[in-house]
Amino acid sequence: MTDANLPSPKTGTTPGMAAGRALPHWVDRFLGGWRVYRKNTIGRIGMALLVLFALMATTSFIPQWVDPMYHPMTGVDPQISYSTGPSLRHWLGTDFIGRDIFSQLLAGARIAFMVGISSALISILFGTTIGMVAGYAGKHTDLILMRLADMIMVMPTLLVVLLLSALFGQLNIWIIVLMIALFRWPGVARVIRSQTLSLRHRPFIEAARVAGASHLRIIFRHILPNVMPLALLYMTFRVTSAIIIEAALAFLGFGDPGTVSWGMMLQWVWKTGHMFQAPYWMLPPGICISLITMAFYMTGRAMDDVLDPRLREEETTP
Amino acid sequence: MTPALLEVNNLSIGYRTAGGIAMAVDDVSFRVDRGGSLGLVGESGCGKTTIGMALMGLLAPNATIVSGQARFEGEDLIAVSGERMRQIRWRRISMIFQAAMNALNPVHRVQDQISEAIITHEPDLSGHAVAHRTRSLFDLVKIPESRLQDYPHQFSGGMRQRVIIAMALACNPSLIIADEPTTALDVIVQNQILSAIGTFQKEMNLGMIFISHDLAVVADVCTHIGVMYAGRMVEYGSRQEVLDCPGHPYTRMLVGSLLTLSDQPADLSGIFVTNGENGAAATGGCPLNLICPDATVVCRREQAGWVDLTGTHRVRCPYAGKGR
Amino acid sequence: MGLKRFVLRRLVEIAVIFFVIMTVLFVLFRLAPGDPVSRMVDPSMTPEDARLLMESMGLDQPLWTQYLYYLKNVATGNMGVSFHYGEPVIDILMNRLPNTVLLFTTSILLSALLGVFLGKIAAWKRGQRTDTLLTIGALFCHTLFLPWLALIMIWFFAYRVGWFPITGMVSPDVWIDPGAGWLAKALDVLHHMALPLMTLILIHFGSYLLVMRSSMLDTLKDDYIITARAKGLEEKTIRDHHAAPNAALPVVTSVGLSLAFSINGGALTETVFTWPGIGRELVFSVSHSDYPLAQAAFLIIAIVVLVANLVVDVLYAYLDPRIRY
Repeated sequence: MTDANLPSPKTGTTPGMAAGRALPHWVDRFLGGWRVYRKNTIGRIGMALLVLFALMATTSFIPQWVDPMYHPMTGVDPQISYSTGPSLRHWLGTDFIGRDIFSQLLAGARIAFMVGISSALISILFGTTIGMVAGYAGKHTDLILMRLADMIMVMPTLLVVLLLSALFGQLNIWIIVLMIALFRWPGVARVIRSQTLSLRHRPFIEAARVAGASHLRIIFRHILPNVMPLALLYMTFRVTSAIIIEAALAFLGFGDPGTVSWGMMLQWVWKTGHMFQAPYWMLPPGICISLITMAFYMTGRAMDDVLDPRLREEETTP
Repeated sequence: MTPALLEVNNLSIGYRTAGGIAMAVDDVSFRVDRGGSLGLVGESGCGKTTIGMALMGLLAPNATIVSGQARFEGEDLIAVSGERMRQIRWRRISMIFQAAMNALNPVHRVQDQISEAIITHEPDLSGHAVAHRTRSLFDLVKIPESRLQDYPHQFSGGMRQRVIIAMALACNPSLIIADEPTTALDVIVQNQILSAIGTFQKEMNLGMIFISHDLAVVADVCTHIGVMYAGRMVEYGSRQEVLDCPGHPYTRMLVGSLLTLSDQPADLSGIFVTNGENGAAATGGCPLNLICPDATVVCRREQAGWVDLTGTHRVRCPYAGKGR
Repeated sequence: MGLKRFVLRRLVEIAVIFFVIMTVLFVLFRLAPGDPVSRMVDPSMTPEDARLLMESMGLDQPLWTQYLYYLKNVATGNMGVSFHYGEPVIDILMNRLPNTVLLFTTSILLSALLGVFLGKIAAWKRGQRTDTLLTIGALFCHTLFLPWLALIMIWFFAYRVGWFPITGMVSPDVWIDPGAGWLAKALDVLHHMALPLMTLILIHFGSYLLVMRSSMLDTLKDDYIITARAKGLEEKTIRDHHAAPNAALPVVTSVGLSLAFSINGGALTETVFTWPGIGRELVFSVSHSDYPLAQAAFLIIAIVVLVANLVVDVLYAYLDPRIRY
């Protein structure tokens, strides 16, 4: 990683410690990365899919506003009380009590984004902080934190959350988000830690220390900007795992009963025994979960391609 | 004159790049006799390794042979089919790699890596005979047979180089290409390896091309020396001729920097650091014209042709043999 | 340090981790809202039986004595009686363990082998149509939602085409029939295993393929590949004998790292296919508030993951001669 305080070759900012001056460099770097990203086919497909899902999530409020019977959770078609196939009235058909599948699908996109992004944000927050602290502090702190990370890493997250829901009863969607985040930080922490280790003895960190900067200031002003791109990359992968875990949990019947998620829809198909009769009901939520995971995964891989050559290139420069 | 073992004529090799073909080897000719050895000397990137790889048919996919031929035992190595080339490799021409490189596969025992070459080229040999030959090869390079079952990482650098030499001799080739075989070794080990290579080469009457950036090493083992600069051969002659009366200014610099063990410090005044020119010959003039102490206007304008100093000693500099 | 000492050290580590997990579970079971005793003893038991069970678990003792009882009970395999089955949970789970291990190990082994094999070919044909197809296929399979794929598999192969049984692990008629030999029984299990196995392999091989492909591309740039070419070996030998073994090492590491992910998938697969394994038992017990069973199932799954990690480490050391512990 380059020193955020060094002048950018393109903008020619003067060197300085102030964050305000580091910002143009950041923006510059981001735009540079975006230019590379745009050329990546996999990244373009991923981005396009994400835009599509975002569109679904934002339009999810419209059906119930058109007619209350399209409400994904409580709206029931007064004339239908069983599962029907696609029709003009219900584009993707209805579920076993006559709720509209299409509006459920839209609502599911909202939940998926919500769960995926918030859970990934929290786990990145944990992972980055713990990784930076472990890498910067070293010694016992490092050892203890990394051992803890190892221990959590071997735990199957889904089953842990499952057990917790057995003990604490039905889980609220936010608790689920938090649980997933709490068990998904170790991978991030490991990567950020090794990145921090390689930064720790760079001249600009040493210089900041000599200049009397506090540890916290060094970590957040000088190390954080340099591990940020990597953290962002890992965030896309965490989004996928969070979405999958939430969906699996809902599929097994431990989701938040107050939400309509794609996993929940699959559970209804499965539990009500409609899987053989109603492919129109079974296919859409599964396709959506798979596609949104694929979209985030592709975005992540493309970002990896954007970041990777830089990492290598900058590693060789002394 | 007996027919040469290998005769390379006007070989030119280029790498395809975005901006056209960059010449890495430009119009190089030399010959190697049975029992003779040619040292190719030059700085890194001057094209000497590319020549070795071209003779083995192992050029990188983006490399292309522009012109020239390489007659080896009656065949043109440049023109033979891929399958024929595969049969020639190691059986007729083998290669000694640099041990510092990962030339040995880390997950296979050295015995298997040696016998693999024998089995590939002499499939009729019994397992017993293969094992016997492998053992005697280890004897030859003075490594205890007990270490045949070891993995490459269990050997020291010098030992690994011996294993590589043993491997190169496995199929009784008639030509060996040694590519910087002693570069990463310390001086004592380097000496042992050099004398070992020299001994085998003479005893088995092999032809050898010895590639090195170090003139001192080449002077130790080779009967002929070819000096290369920026993809061109600038001087070619017998060891004695090149070392005693170097005709090309670049060779003079090399020889000059060689004799630093005398009381007098070597005259380094004429030596410049080149700007990392990588093979592609400078447009128009002599590639050396910027750093040559004797360069004239002519040198900047046009390529020098060959000047024959003796029947076997050629120099690519119009001023060779004059002046000095 | 020899391999034996390495294994010993790792066993101690595993014991420590397991101890921590046990302790965390103990604390959680006491922290959770409601009466801890009701989570240990079936409320529908006769008072006499309940008292005996409570005594054996020290539930009438102070908390830290309970903890000692708990450690002792886990060590001796006395983990309570299942509310639902009315049998000691350890008996139930020991009965399920082989089924889980069978499905888990075969699926991981086969998906890793398939991933290595296809990844090798993709890297070898880099940039060609084979490579593009394999990479996209791997990406696609890797991101499929497992329970949904399982449902589709059942719907198509068991319901529409009817090639495989819909659920379960055995057909009762084969096992009741006294004339059926072991071969018939084995074939019957294989017949039932085919769909869950295919589901797991489809989900898992993709990531191994991608790892193998990129590691193989790195390996092909290595010097010993040039040596192998110079030796005049056939291209196939170079690919299979020189490049692939080195390139497969990172795949082994990635198998180890994805073990937890695999066991999640295993539990989901077992549940959808009603494969009588530990994962299904855990899901079942959680939905039926069968706490002793849930606790024990979780502990056993933890042991399975930890031991599988050790096996992967030993396998790595075996495959890479440079690693000697």
